[in-house]
Amino acid sequence: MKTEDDVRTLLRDAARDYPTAPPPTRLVIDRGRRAKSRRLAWVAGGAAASVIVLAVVAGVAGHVDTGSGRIGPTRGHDDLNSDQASTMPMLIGLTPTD
Amino acid sequence: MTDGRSGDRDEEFSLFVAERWPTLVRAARLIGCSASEAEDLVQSALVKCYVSWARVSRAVERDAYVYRLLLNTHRSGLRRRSSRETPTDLSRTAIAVAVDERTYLQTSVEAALGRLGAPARQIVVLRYYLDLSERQTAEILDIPAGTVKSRLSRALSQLSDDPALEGLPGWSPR
Repeated sequence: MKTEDDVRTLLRDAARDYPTAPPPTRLVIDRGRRAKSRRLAWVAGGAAASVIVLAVVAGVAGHVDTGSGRIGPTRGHDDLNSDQASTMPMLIGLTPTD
Repeated sequence: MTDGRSGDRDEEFSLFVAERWPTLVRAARLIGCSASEAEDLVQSALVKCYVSWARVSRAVERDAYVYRLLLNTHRSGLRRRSSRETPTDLSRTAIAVAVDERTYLQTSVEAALGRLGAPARQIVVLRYYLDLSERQTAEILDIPAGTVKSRLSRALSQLSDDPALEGLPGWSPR
């Protein structure tokens, strides 16, 4: 019979080599003009950044522009290029709400 | 416009994501997700986490709270998929084509975990990979601590005898 520590070691050994993409470099959050609306998208970073829109809660969403690396103007980071985006820690851009 | 408070919150959340991301994705793999499903699952759970960040960040056991979100999101995803997708035994296929030691280890462990069944598999991952206590595991899964204990004991026995794990380094018969 194996011990609990054997299982711990086994799981850690197996999990250690799972390739994990780096965490998203930026999370773009757009609350839109109405509070009900929340649209979130992650930009995985890099020149060929892929965008996954995760959740759209019903409501009228504002604008989400992730492809260009542009994030909400309220944080003062505008028109980031993809090189900048790939080297930046994850930022969160919020568009103006109501 | 954002105010200072939401800026702090976002920064705190960003740090949390950056720090926990690999562990959450790996835990998702161990509970049975493919690589892409794991990332999707973690992202979905983190979205929920962000939306209720005020509550999450105040939680005494924040990580446990997030693991609960992860598992709940996983369960609801399975329910949605079960009506329109038919799972196949990918692990068996994967073992057949495994070409290197690393892949062999992963597919063997996945196959063995898969045979435990979803509830026991989740308990094993929470308890032995994420190192939660039996009490925390019980709270997250909303089951009695005694059930956690008994399922762990059965899982340990089953893993000990699982043929997929035979011959793995450090897992030789005792």
